[in-house]
Amino acid sequence: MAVNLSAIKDLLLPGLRGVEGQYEQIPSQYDKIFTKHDSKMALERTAEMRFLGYAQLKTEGGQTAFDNGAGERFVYNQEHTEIGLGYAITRKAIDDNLYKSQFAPSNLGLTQSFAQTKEIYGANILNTATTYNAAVGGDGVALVSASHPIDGTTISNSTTNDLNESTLLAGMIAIRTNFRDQAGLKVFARGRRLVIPPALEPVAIRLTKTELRPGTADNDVNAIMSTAGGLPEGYMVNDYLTSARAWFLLTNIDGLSYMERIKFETDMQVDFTTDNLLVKGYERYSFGYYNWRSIYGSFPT
Amino acid sequence: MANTNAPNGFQQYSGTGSAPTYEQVALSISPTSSTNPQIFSGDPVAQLSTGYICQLGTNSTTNTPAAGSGVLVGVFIGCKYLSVSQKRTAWSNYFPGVGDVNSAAGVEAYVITDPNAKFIVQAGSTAVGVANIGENIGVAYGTGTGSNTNTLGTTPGNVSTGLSTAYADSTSVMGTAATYPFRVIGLANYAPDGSNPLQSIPGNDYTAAYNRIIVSFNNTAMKSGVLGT
Repeated sequence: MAVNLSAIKDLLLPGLRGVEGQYEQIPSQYDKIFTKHDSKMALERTAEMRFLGYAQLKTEGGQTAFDNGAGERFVYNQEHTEIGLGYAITRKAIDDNLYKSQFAPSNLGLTQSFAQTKEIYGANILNTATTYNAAVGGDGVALVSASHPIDGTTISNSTTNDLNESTLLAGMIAIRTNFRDQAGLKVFARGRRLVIPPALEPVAIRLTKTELRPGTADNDVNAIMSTAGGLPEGYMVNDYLTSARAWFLLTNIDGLSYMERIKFETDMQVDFTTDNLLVKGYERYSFGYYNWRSIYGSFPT
Repeated sequence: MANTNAPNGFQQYSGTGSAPTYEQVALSISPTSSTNPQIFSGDPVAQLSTGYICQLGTNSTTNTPAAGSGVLVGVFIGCKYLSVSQKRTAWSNYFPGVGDVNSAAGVEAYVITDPNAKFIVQAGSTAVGVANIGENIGVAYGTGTGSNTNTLGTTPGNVSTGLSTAYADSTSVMGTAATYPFRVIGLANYAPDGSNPLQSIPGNDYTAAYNRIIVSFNNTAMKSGVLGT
Protein backbone atom coordinates (compact mmCIF):
# COMPACT_ATOMS: atom_id res chain seq x y z
CA MET A 1 0.00 0.00 0.00
CA ALA A 2 1.30 3.40 -0.91
CA VAL A 3 0.95 6.53 1.18
CA ASN A 4 -2.50 7.62 0.08
CA LEU A 5 -5.21 10.15 0.89
CA SER A 6 -6.36 8.23 3.94
CA ALA A 7 -2.87 8.46 5.40
CA ILE A 8 -2.79 12.24 5.12
CA LYS A 9 -6.49 12.97 5.56
CA ASP A 10 -6.10 16.17 7.55
CA LEU A 11 -3.60 17.59 5.10
CA LEU A 12 -6.32 17.75 2.44
CA LEU A 13 -8.18 20.69 3.96
CA PRO A 14 -6.95 24.17 4.93
CA GLY A 15 -6.93 25.33 8.52
CA LEU A 16 -4.18 23.28 10.21
CA ARG A 17 -2.05 25.44 12.48
CA GLY A 18 0.98 23.32 11.74
CA VAL A 19 2.32 19.90 10.79
CA GLU A 20 4.70 18.29 13.28
CA GLY A 21 6.62 15.05 13.35
CA GLN A 22 10.03 15.78 11.97
CA TYR A 23 12.64 16.88 14.48
CA GLU A 24 16.16 18.14 14.64
CA GLN A 25 18.50 15.21 14.39
CA ILE A 26 21.30 14.23 16.73
CA PRO A 27 24.60 15.35 15.21
CA SER A 28 26.74 12.62 13.76
CA GLN A 29 28.60 10.61 16.40
CA TYR A 30 30.06 7.62 14.61
CA ASP A 31 32.64 9.79 12.86
CA LYS A 32 34.15 10.70 16.22
CA ILE A 33 34.76 7.03 16.98
CA PHE A 34 35.58 5.46 13.63
CA THR A 35 38.13 6.46 11.02
CA LYS A 36 36.56 6.92 7.63
CA HIS A 37 38.03 5.05 4.67
CA ASP A 38 36.86 4.87 1.09
CA SER A 39 36.53 1.40 -0.34
CA LYS A 40 36.54 0.07 -3.87
CA MET A 41 36.11 -3.62 -3.15
CA ALA A 42 33.41 -5.98 -1.92
CA LEU A 43 35.59 -7.14 0.92
CA GLU A 44 38.36 -5.16 2.55
CA ARG A 45 41.05 -7.12 4.32
CA THR A 46 43.70 -5.82 6.69
CA ALA A 47 46.65 -7.97 7.68
CA GLU A 48 48.31 -7.77 11.07
CA MET A 49 51.99 -8.56 10.77
CA ARG A 50 54.55 -9.60 13.31
CA PHE A 51 57.84 -7.72 13.11
CA LEU A 52 60.96 -8.45 15.14
CA GLY A 53 61.08 -9.13 18.86
CA TYR A 54 63.73 -8.15 21.36
CA ALA A 55 67.37 -8.40 20.48
CA GLN A 56 69.02 -11.36 22.15
CA LEU A 57 72.03 -11.70 24.37
CA LYS A 58 75.18 -12.70 22.51
CA THR A 59 78.12 -14.36 24.20
CA GLU A 60 81.71 -13.87 23.16
CA GLY A 61 82.39 -15.86 20.04
CA GLY A 62 78.87 -17.23 20.07
CA GLN A 63 76.39 -17.07 17.27
CA THR A 64 74.03 -14.19 16.76
CA ALA A 65 70.46 -15.16 17.45
CA PHE A 66 68.08 -14.85 14.54
CA ASP A 67 64.42 -14.05 14.75
CA ASN A 68 62.74 -15.44 11.66
CA GLY A 69 59.28 -15.22 13.12
CA ALA A 70 58.27 -12.07 11.25
CA GLY A 71 55.24 -12.46 9.06
CA GLU A 72 51.50 -12.43 8.91
CA ARG A 73 49.52 -13.28 12.00
CA PHE A 74 45.91 -12.26 11.41
CA VAL A 75 43.63 -10.94 8.72
CA TYR A 76 40.65 -8.79 9.58
CA ASN A 77 37.75 -8.83 7.13
CA GLN A 78 35.29 -6.06 6.57
CA GLU A 79 32.42 -6.82 4.23
CA HIS A 80 30.11 -4.01 3.25
CA THR A 81 26.42 -3.93 3.97
CA GLU A 82 23.78 -2.68 1.60
CA ILE A 83 21.33 -0.32 3.23
CA GLY A 84 18.15 0.70 1.48
CA LEU A 85 14.75 2.19 2.18
CA GLY A 86 11.98 3.43 -0.08
CA TYR A 87 8.39 4.50 -0.07
CA ALA A 88 5.54 4.94 -2.52
CA ILE A 89 3.00 7.73 -2.51
CA THR A 90 -0.08 8.01 -4.69
CA ARG A 91 -0.53 10.80 -7.20
CA LYS A 92 -3.61 12.03 -5.39
CA ALA A 93 -1.72 12.22 -2.10
CA ILE A 94 0.79 14.46 -3.83
CA ASP A 95 -1.65 16.61 -5.77
CA ASP A 96 -4.13 17.17 -2.95
CA ASN A 97 -1.66 17.71 -0.09
CA LEU A 98 -2.06 21.35 0.95
CA TYR A 99 0.99 21.29 3.20
CA LYS A 100 3.73 20.22 0.85
CA SER A 101 6.35 22.39 2.50
CA GLN A 102 5.84 20.59 5.83
CA PHE A 103 5.15 17.10 4.44
CA ALA A 104 7.08 17.04 1.18
CA PRO A 105 6.12 14.05 -0.95
CA SER A 106 9.61 13.70 -2.32
CA ASN A 107 11.33 14.03 1.04
CA LEU A 108 9.84 12.07 3.88
CA GLY A 109 13.09 11.82 5.76
CA LEU A 110 15.30 9.33 3.99
CA THR A 111 18.38 11.28 5.00
CA GLN A 112 17.48 11.11 8.66
CA SER A 113 16.58 7.42 8.47
CA PHE A 114 19.84 6.51 6.86
CA ALA A 115 21.89 8.71 9.16
CA GLN A 116 20.47 7.22 12.30
CA THR A 117 20.70 3.70 10.94
CA LYS A 118 24.37 4.33 10.35
CA GLU A 119 24.80 5.46 13.94
CA ILE A 120 23.26 2.22 15.17
CA TYR A 121 25.44 0.10 12.94
CA GLY A 122 28.47 1.97 14.22
CA ALA A 123 27.51 1.72 17.87
CA ASN A 124 26.84 -1.97 17.36
CA ILE A 125 30.58 -2.54 17.06
CA LEU A 126 30.94 -1.26 20.62
CA ASN A 127 27.73 -2.83 21.91
CA THR A 128 28.86 -6.26 20.77
CA ALA A 129 32.54 -5.73 21.46
CA THR A 130 32.77 -8.72 23.76
CA THR A 131 31.23 -11.12 21.25
CA TYR A 132 33.53 -12.65 18.70
CA ASN A 133 32.35 -12.47 15.11
CA ALA A 134 33.98 -15.19 13.04
CA ALA A 135 33.28 -13.28 9.83
CA VAL A 136 35.70 -10.61 11.00
CA GLY A 137 38.40 -13.17 11.55
CA GLY A 138 41.29 -11.34 13.11
CA ASP A 139 42.94 -12.72 16.20
CA GLY A 140 40.13 -15.12 17.01
CA VAL A 141 38.76 -13.26 20.03
CA ALA A 142 36.31 -10.43 20.45
CA LEU A 143 37.30 -6.79 19.91
CA VAL A 144 37.32 -6.25 23.67
CA SER A 145 38.87 -9.29 25.26
CA ALA A 146 41.06 -10.24 28.18
CA SER A 147 43.19 -12.48 25.99
CA HIS A 148 44.29 -11.03 22.68
CA PRO A 149 47.03 -13.37 21.47
CA ILE A 150 50.46 -12.10 20.58
CA ASP A 151 53.51 -14.27 20.20
CA GLY A 152 54.19 -15.89 23.53
CA THR A 153 51.50 -14.25 25.63
CA THR A 154 48.12 -12.62 25.65
CA ILE A 155 47.07 -9.03 26.31
CA SER A 156 43.86 -7.63 27.72
CA ASN A 157 42.03 -4.52 26.57
CA SER A 158 39.12 -5.34 28.78
CA THR A 159 37.84 -4.81 32.29
CA THR A 160 34.54 -5.22 34.08
CA ASN A 161 34.63 -2.24 36.41
CA ASP A 162 32.15 0.60 36.65
CA LEU A 163 33.43 3.98 35.59
CA ASN A 164 35.03 5.93 38.40
CA GLU A 165 38.28 7.74 39.06
CA SER A 166 40.37 4.69 39.87
CA THR A 167 39.02 2.50 37.06
CA LEU A 168 39.46 5.24 34.48
CA LEU A 169 43.02 5.82 35.62
CA ALA A 170 43.64 2.09 35.64
CA GLY A 171 42.44 1.89 32.05
CA MET A 172 44.63 4.77 30.92
CA ILE A 173 47.64 3.21 32.61
CA ALA A 174 46.83 -0.26 31.26
CA ILE A 175 46.81 1.07 27.70
CA ARG A 176 50.22 2.60 28.19
CA THR A 177 51.67 -0.32 30.10
CA ASN A 178 50.25 -3.40 28.47
CA PHE A 179 49.69 -2.72 24.79
CA ARG A 180 52.35 -4.43 22.71
CA ASP A 181 52.87 -5.37 19.10
CA GLN A 182 52.70 -8.94 17.85
CA ALA A 183 56.33 -9.56 18.74
CA GLY A 184 55.89 -8.27 22.27
CA LEU A 185 57.48 -4.82 21.93
CA LYS A 186 55.73 -1.98 23.70
CA VAL A 187 53.87 0.40 21.42
CA PHE A 188 53.08 4.08 21.86
CA ALA A 189 49.49 3.71 22.95
CA ARG A 190 47.64 6.35 24.92
CA GLY A 191 44.00 6.89 25.74
CA ARG A 192 42.58 9.87 23.91
CA ARG A 193 38.79 9.88 24.31
CA LEU A 194 36.28 8.41 26.72
CA VAL A 195 33.10 7.09 25.08
CA ILE A 196 30.12 6.62 27.36
CA PRO A 197 26.36 6.11 27.27
CA PRO A 198 24.13 9.02 28.36
CA ALA A 199 23.65 7.54 31.82
CA LEU A 200 27.35 7.91 32.59
CA GLU A 201 27.70 11.52 31.50
CA PRO A 202 27.41 12.95 35.03
CA VAL A 203 30.23 10.63 36.11
CA ALA A 204 32.35 11.62 33.12
CA ILE A 205 31.79 15.32 33.80
CA ARG A 206 32.90 14.95 37.39
CA LEU A 207 35.97 13.02 36.33
CA THR A 208 37.15 15.13 33.41
CA LYS A 209 35.89 18.66 34.03
CA THR A 210 37.55 19.41 37.31
CA GLU A 211 41.03 20.68 38.03
CA LEU A 212 41.09 19.07 41.46
CA ARG A 213 40.75 15.44 42.36
CA PRO A 214 37.11 14.43 42.05
CA GLY A 215 35.19 13.27 45.09
CA THR A 216 37.62 14.42 47.75
CA ALA A 217 38.00 17.44 49.97
CA ASP A 218 41.72 17.50 49.30
CA ASN A 219 43.43 19.92 47.00
CA ASP A 220 45.12 17.15 45.02
CA VAL A 221 45.24 17.81 41.32
CA ASN A 222 43.02 15.73 39.07
CA ALA A 223 45.44 13.08 37.81
CA ILE A 224 43.10 12.10 34.98
CA MET A 225 44.04 15.29 33.19
CA SER A 226 47.70 14.31 32.94
CA THR A 227 48.21 10.60 33.50
CA ALA A 228 49.59 8.92 30.38
CA GLY A 229 48.99 12.14 28.48
CA GLY A 230 45.52 12.68 29.92
CA LEU A 231 42.49 12.40 27.69
CA PRO A 232 43.22 15.09 25.09
CA GLU A 233 39.86 14.64 23.40
CA GLY A 234 37.83 14.49 26.61
CA TYR A 235 34.69 12.42 26.62
CA MET A 236 31.83 11.94 24.22
CA VAL A 237 28.36 10.60 24.81
CA ASN A 238 27.10 8.08 22.31
CA ASP A 239 23.33 7.93 22.29
CA TYR A 240 23.23 4.52 20.69
CA LEU A 241 25.13 2.49 23.27
CA THR A 242 22.79 -0.11 24.67
CA SER A 243 24.45 -0.69 28.03
CA ALA A 244 24.02 2.04 30.61
CA ARG A 245 27.24 0.98 32.35
CA ALA A 246 29.67 0.07 29.58
CA TRP A 247 32.41 2.58 28.81
CA PHE A 248 35.27 2.72 26.36
CA LEU A 249 38.59 4.44 25.95
CA LEU A 250 39.65 5.16 22.39
CA THR A 251 43.39 5.22 21.88
CA ASN A 252 45.69 7.03 19.50
CA ILE A 253 46.05 3.81 17.46
CA ASP A 254 43.94 3.60 14.34
CA GLY A 255 41.82 0.48 14.19
CA LEU A 256 38.11 1.23 14.28
CA SER A 257 36.99 1.62 10.72
CA TYR A 258 34.05 3.00 8.81
CA MET A 259 34.40 2.12 5.14
CA GLU A 260 32.22 3.80 2.58
CA ARG A 261 31.68 1.79 -0.59
CA ILE A 262 28.80 3.75 -2.13
CA LYS A 263 27.80 7.15 -0.81
CA PHE A 264 24.21 7.80 0.17
CA GLU A 265 22.12 8.35 -2.92
CA THR A 266 18.44 8.82 -3.63
CA ASP A 267 16.37 8.26 -6.69
CA MET A 268 12.72 8.52 -7.65
CA GLN A 269 10.44 7.61 -10.48
CA VAL A 270 6.76 7.67 -11.37
CA ASP A 271 5.28 4.26 -11.93
CA PHE A 272 3.74 4.15 -15.39
CA THR A 273 0.66 2.14 -14.57
CA THR A 274 -0.29 3.49 -11.12
CA ASP A 275 1.10 7.03 -11.25
CA ASN A 276 2.54 6.35 -7.81
CA LEU A 277 5.75 8.17 -6.99
CA LEU A 278 8.44 5.74 -5.85
CA VAL A 279 11.31 7.18 -3.84
CA LYS A 280 14.23 5.25 -2.46
CA GLY A 281 17.58 5.70 -0.88
CA TYR A 282 20.62 3.46 -1.01
CA GLU A 283 24.07 3.31 0.42
CA ARG A 284 26.69 0.68 1.05
CA TYR A 285 29.19 0.74 3.85
CA SER A 286 30.50 -1.20 6.77
CA PHE A 287 31.74 -0.70 10.27
CA GLY A 288 34.48 -2.90 11.55
CA TYR A 289 37.86 -3.01 13.15
CA TYR A 290 41.32 -4.18 12.34
CA ASN A 291 43.24 -3.46 15.50
CA TRP A 292 42.10 -4.12 19.05
CA ARG A 293 44.73 -1.68 20.30
CA SER A 294 42.46 1.14 19.20
CA ILE A 295 40.12 0.61 22.12
CA TYR A 296 39.92 -0.36 25.78
CA GLY A 297 36.50 -1.35 27.02
CA SER A 298 34.64 -2.11 30.20
CA PHE A 299 31.43 -4.10 30.46
CA PRO A 300 30.58 -4.10 34.19
CA THR A 301 28.75 -7.20 35.32
CA MET B 1 57.63 -11.82 36.99
CA ALA B 2 55.35 -14.68 36.11
CA ASN B 3 55.59 -16.03 32.60
CA THR B 4 52.51 -16.49 30.48
CA ASN B 5 51.30 -19.85 29.30
CA ALA B 6 50.87 -19.10 25.59
CA PRO B 7 52.97 -21.63 23.67
CA ASN B 8 53.59 -20.98 20.00
CA GLY B 9 55.79 -23.85 18.95
CA PHE B 10 59.46 -24.12 18.10
CA GLN B 11 61.15 -21.13 16.46
CA GLN B 12 64.60 -21.52 15.01
CA TYR B 13 66.93 -19.30 16.92
CA SER B 14 70.45 -20.06 15.78
CA GLY B 15 72.70 -22.91 14.80
CA THR B 16 75.33 -24.92 16.61
CA GLY B 17 78.87 -24.85 15.35
CA SER B 18 78.46 -23.70 11.78
CA ALA B 19 76.43 -20.66 10.85
CA PRO B 20 72.88 -21.73 10.02
CA THR B 21 71.47 -21.09 6.57
CA TYR B 22 67.90 -21.49 7.79
CA GLU B 23 67.35 -23.98 5.06
CA GLN B 24 63.81 -25.21 4.62
CA VAL B 25 63.62 -28.74 3.32
CA ALA B 26 60.68 -29.67 1.10
CA LEU B 27 58.79 -32.73 2.32
CA SER B 28 55.29 -33.97 1.58
CA ILE B 29 52.01 -34.02 3.44
CA SER B 30 49.47 -36.58 2.36
CA PRO B 31 46.92 -34.78 0.16
CA THR B 32 44.31 -37.45 0.69
CA SER B 33 44.53 -38.70 4.24
CA SER B 34 41.62 -37.37 6.23
CA THR B 35 43.05 -38.47 9.56
CA ASN B 36 44.68 -35.76 11.63
CA PRO B 37 45.98 -33.79 8.68
CA GLN B 38 46.57 -30.37 10.20
CA ILE B 39 50.11 -29.10 10.81
CA PHE B 40 50.93 -25.65 12.20
CA SER B 41 53.96 -23.43 11.88
CA GLY B 42 56.34 -24.40 14.67
CA ASP B 43 54.96 -27.91 15.07
CA PRO B 44 57.45 -30.76 15.41
CA VAL B 45 56.69 -33.23 12.66
CA ALA B 46 57.37 -36.91 12.20
CA GLN B 47 58.02 -38.88 9.05
CA LEU B 48 55.82 -41.90 8.53
CA SER B 49 56.55 -45.07 6.64
CA THR B 50 54.39 -43.66 3.84
CA GLY B 51 56.95 -40.91 3.28
CA TYR B 52 54.53 -38.23 4.38
CA ILE B 53 54.91 -36.11 7.47
CA CYS B 54 52.45 -35.54 10.28
CA GLN B 55 52.21 -33.50 13.43
CA LEU B 56 54.18 -35.24 16.19
CA GLY B 57 51.69 -37.04 18.38
CA THR B 58 49.24 -37.98 15.67
CA ASN B 59 49.07 -41.23 13.73
CA SER B 60 50.64 -43.19 16.61
CA THR B 61 53.71 -40.97 16.65
CA THR B 62 54.71 -40.07 20.18
CA ASN B 63 57.60 -38.64 22.13
CA THR B 64 59.07 -42.10 22.45
CA PRO B 65 58.24 -43.67 19.10
CA ALA B 66 57.97 -47.40 18.71
CA ALA B 67 59.44 -49.03 15.63
CA GLY B 68 57.58 -48.11 12.48
CA SER B 69 55.46 -45.39 14.03
CA GLY B 70 57.53 -42.52 12.77
CA VAL B 71 60.19 -40.41 14.36
CA LEU B 72 60.76 -36.67 14.64
CA VAL B 73 62.09 -35.30 11.38
CA GLY B 74 62.02 -31.56 11.97
CA VAL B 75 59.94 -28.48 12.59
CA PHE B 76 57.24 -27.43 10.15
CA ILE B 77 57.28 -23.79 8.99
CA GLY B 78 54.85 -23.59 6.08
CA CYS B 79 53.52 -25.22 2.96
CA LYS B 80 51.99 -24.71 -0.43
CA TYR B 81 49.25 -26.60 -2.20
CA LEU B 82 46.85 -26.20 -5.08
CA SER B 83 43.61 -24.86 -3.66
CA VAL B 84 40.45 -26.24 -5.24
CA SER B 85 38.28 -23.35 -4.09
CA GLN B 86 40.74 -20.60 -5.01
CA LYS B 87 41.88 -22.28 -8.23
CA ARG B 88 45.46 -21.30 -7.63
CA THR B 89 48.48 -22.22 -5.57
CA ALA B 90 47.93 -21.29 -1.96
CA TRP B 91 50.80 -20.54 0.39
CA SER B 92 50.08 -20.95 4.05
CA ASN B 93 52.01 -21.00 7.28
CA TYR B 94 49.87 -23.96 8.35
CA PHE B 95 48.31 -26.90 6.58
CA PRO B 96 44.57 -26.61 7.16
CA GLY B 97 43.64 -30.12 6.06
CA VAL B 98 42.94 -31.97 2.88
CA GLY B 99 39.47 -30.55 2.22
CA ASP B 100 40.60 -27.83 -0.16
CA VAL B 101 43.60 -29.60 -1.65
CA ASN B 102 43.91 -30.79 -5.22
CA SER B 103 45.22 -34.25 -4.44
CA ALA B 104 46.90 -34.70 -7.81
CA ALA B 105 49.15 -31.71 -7.18
CA GLY B 106 50.23 -32.80 -3.70
CA VAL B 107 51.27 -30.71 -0.76
CA GLU B 108 54.76 -29.31 -0.44
CA ALA B 109 55.74 -28.80 3.19
CA TYR B 110 58.73 -26.81 4.40
CA VAL B 111 60.53 -28.31 7.34
CA ILE B 112 63.65 -27.39 9.30
CA THR B 113 65.68 -30.58 9.50
CA ASP B 114 69.12 -29.10 10.22
CA PRO B 115 70.58 -31.30 13.01
CA ASN B 116 72.48 -28.24 14.27
CA ALA B 117 69.42 -26.03 14.59
CA LYS B 118 68.53 -24.47 17.92
CA PHE B 119 65.00 -23.53 18.75
CA ILE B 120 63.41 -21.29 21.31
CA VAL B 121 60.28 -22.77 22.84
CA GLN B 122 58.08 -22.36 25.88
CA ALA B 123 58.40 -24.86 28.73
CA GLY B 124 55.47 -26.45 30.56
CA SER B 125 54.13 -25.85 34.05
CA THR B 126 57.44 -26.95 35.58
CA ALA B 127 60.07 -24.26 35.28
CA VAL B 128 63.21 -25.28 33.43
CA GLY B 129 66.23 -23.99 35.31
CA VAL B 130 69.97 -24.09 34.99
CA ALA B 131 70.04 -27.57 36.53
CA ASN B 132 67.95 -28.92 33.68
CA ILE B 133 70.34 -27.85 30.97
CA GLY B 134 71.65 -30.99 29.31
CA GLU B 135 68.52 -33.01 29.95
CA ASN B 136 66.35 -34.35 27.17
CA ILE B 137 62.79 -33.20 26.84
CA GLY B 138 59.60 -34.11 25.02
CA VAL B 139 56.75 -32.24 23.40
CA ALA B 140 53.20 -31.44 24.38
CA TYR B 141 50.57 -29.10 22.97
CA GLY B 142 48.48 -26.39 24.53
CA THR B 143 44.79 -26.54 23.74
CA GLY B 144 44.18 -24.72 20.50
CA THR B 145 41.58 -24.31 17.81
CA GLY B 146 42.81 -27.03 15.48
CA SER B 147 40.96 -30.26 14.78
CA ASN B 148 43.61 -32.96 15.10
CA THR B 149 43.31 -35.78 17.57
CA ASN B 150 46.72 -35.85 19.18
CA THR B 151 48.04 -38.00 21.98
CA LEU B 152 50.14 -35.09 23.25
CA GLY B 153 47.48 -32.40 23.48
CA THR B 154 43.92 -31.37 22.76
CA THR B 155 43.07 -29.83 19.36
CA PRO B 156 46.58 -28.41 18.95
CA GLY B 157 47.32 -25.39 16.79
CA ASN B 158 45.81 -21.96 16.30
CA VAL B 159 43.86 -21.64 13.06
CA SER B 160 43.70 -17.84 13.37
CA THR B 161 47.45 -17.34 13.28
CA GLY B 162 48.49 -20.66 11.80
CA LEU B 163 50.95 -20.98 14.67
CA SER B 164 51.66 -24.08 16.69
CA THR B 165 50.67 -24.48 20.32
CA ALA B 166 53.52 -26.91 20.96
CA TYR B 167 55.74 -26.53 24.00
CA ALA B 168 58.55 -28.44 25.62
CA ASP B 169 56.93 -30.79 28.12
CA SER B 170 59.01 -30.05 31.19
CA THR B 171 56.22 -31.33 33.41
CA SER B 172 56.17 -34.99 32.45
CA VAL B 173 58.75 -35.69 29.75
CA MET B 174 62.10 -34.36 30.90
CA GLY B 175 65.07 -36.43 31.94
CA THR B 176 67.90 -38.53 30.65
CA ALA B 177 66.04 -40.86 28.26
CA ALA B 178 67.80 -40.93 24.92
CA THR B 179 64.54 -41.33 23.02
CA TYR B 180 63.20 -37.91 23.95
CA PRO B 181 63.16 -35.75 20.82
CA PHE B 182 64.77 -32.53 22.07
CA ARG B 183 67.58 -31.54 24.38
CA VAL B 184 67.69 -28.50 26.66
CA ILE B 185 70.77 -26.47 25.89
CA GLY B 186 70.01 -23.07 27.40
CA LEU B 187 67.57 -20.60 28.88
CA ALA B 188 66.32 -17.61 26.94
CA ASN B 189 68.54 -14.58 27.32
CA TYR B 190 70.46 -15.87 30.31
CA ALA B 191 74.13 -15.16 30.59
CA PRO B 192 76.24 -17.97 32.06
CA ASP B 193 76.40 -16.02 35.33
CA GLY B 194 72.62 -16.25 35.66
CA SER B 195 71.86 -12.60 34.97
CA ASN B 196 69.10 -11.54 32.62
CA PRO B 197 68.11 -7.91 32.02
CA LEU B 198 64.99 -9.09 30.23
CA GLN B 199 63.72 -11.09 33.19
CA SER B 200 60.64 -8.87 33.48
CA ILE B 201 59.56 -9.76 29.96
CA PRO B 202 57.16 -12.73 29.90
CA GLY B 203 59.01 -15.94 29.13
CA ASN B 204 62.38 -14.86 30.46
CA ASP B 205 62.01 -15.77 34.14
CA TYR B 206 63.49 -19.24 34.63
CA THR B 207 62.33 -19.39 38.23
CA ALA B 208 58.70 -19.56 37.13
CA ALA B 209 56.65 -21.95 35.04
CA TYR B 210 56.31 -21.52 31.29
CA ASN B 211 59.72 -19.93 30.78
CA ARG B 212 61.27 -19.98 27.35
CA ILE B 213 64.16 -22.31 26.76
CA ILE B 214 66.56 -23.13 23.98
CA VAL B 215 66.54 -26.67 22.69
CA SER B 216 68.18 -28.64 19.94
CA PHE B 217 67.22 -31.89 18.25
CA ASN B 218 68.10 -35.03 20.18
CA ASN B 219 66.37 -38.04 18.72
CA THR B 220 65.40 -37.44 15.11
CA ALA B 221 65.36 -39.15 11.76
CA MET B 222 68.73 -37.52 11.00
CA LYS B 223 70.36 -38.12 14.36
CA SER B 224 70.09 -40.80 17.00
CA GLY B 225 69.33 -39.67 20.48
CA VAL B 226 71.88 -39.63 23.25
CA LEU B 227 71.36 -39.89 26.97
CA GLY B 228 70.73 -36.65 28.80
CA THR B 229 72.89 -35.52 31.65
